[in-house]
Amino acid sequence: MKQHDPVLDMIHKADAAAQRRCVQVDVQQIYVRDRRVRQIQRRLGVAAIMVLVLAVILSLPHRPKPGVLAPETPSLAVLEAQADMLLARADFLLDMEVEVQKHLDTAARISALESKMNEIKDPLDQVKAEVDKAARAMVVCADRFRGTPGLRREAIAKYKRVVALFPDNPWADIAQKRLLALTH
Amino acid sequence: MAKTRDDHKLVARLHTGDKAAFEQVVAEYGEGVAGLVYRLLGWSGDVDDVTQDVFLAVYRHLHRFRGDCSLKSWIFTIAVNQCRSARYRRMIRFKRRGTQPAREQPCASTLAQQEEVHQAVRRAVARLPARLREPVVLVYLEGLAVAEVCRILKISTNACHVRLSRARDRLRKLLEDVSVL
Repeated sequence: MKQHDPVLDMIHKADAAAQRRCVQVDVQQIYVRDRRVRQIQRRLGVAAIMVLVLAVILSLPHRPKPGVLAPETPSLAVLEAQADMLLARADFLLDMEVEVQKHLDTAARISALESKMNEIKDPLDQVKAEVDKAARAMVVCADRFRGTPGLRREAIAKYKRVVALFPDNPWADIAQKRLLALTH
Repeated sequence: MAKTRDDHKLVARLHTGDKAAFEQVVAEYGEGVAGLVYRLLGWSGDVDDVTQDVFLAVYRHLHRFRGDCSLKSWIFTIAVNQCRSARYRRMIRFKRRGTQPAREQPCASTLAQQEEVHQAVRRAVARLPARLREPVVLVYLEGLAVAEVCRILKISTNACHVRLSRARDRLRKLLEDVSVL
């Protein structure tokens, strides 16, 4: 029903006729922007906390004890110095966080490499598999000789060769059994 | 179903901080999101920037994805919201400058008649209010199911059908002159 609506047909055609250029999404730029946004948010958070602390400090009622001289109220310069100190400390903590993040990234990379290394197969196992394959091929070949009239000797020679070359392989046991069956 | 399972695996990888998984998301949905953005912005505008913003929002708010809809629906929801913001920003910018947004102007002497009609249709769709334009783009141009569109726009099925019907009527009126061409 929708397909026969002339308005929809026109929309489809107009959309198809619109030439759209290829859009490339830059993932690296996304990471950079994300880092920048997080950094700004952290700084804003620190600034907000500091403003709050200052507001609380300034709003505290000043009640000197009776008989005791009122302590000198902190001047604006002192408060500014404290604020500067807090800012410097916040910057230092942010730098520390960046360093820690770097270390964490390195650790993650190392663990990823370790997991990759674990995925690499043991070459000894591969060699064993190849030997197993070769022994099996020879036994299969000997079986074919055994089944062919006039090739009994060749079959016996093949079985003997398997037993001699791969004594520890399970295929050597099979060859030995077939050899016994042929010779007795 | 298999796609949803793949999405869940992908999201699980993303939650572990796997950047390759995010790159996979960008590769898989980048083209679709760019197409949607292009249409929602009225076949013009900063498609590159808005698409980049969409994926930045996806990267930043991935932890909020609960998995009760498909990853595609979730990303499309973000794209729709980013397009609304982009159009709003554009409107503010033009209001401040005191000029109208640049639109494709038909020119009978240089453009073919057919292309003129297409431009008129695109202008008509772009002139629709957002609440009518978004269902039109999502259902008729992106080919999404109504249920999925309802989830993206957070409206009921009935409301979606009503908006589509109104949009068709509005477009029919706007395109009366064009149809004669």
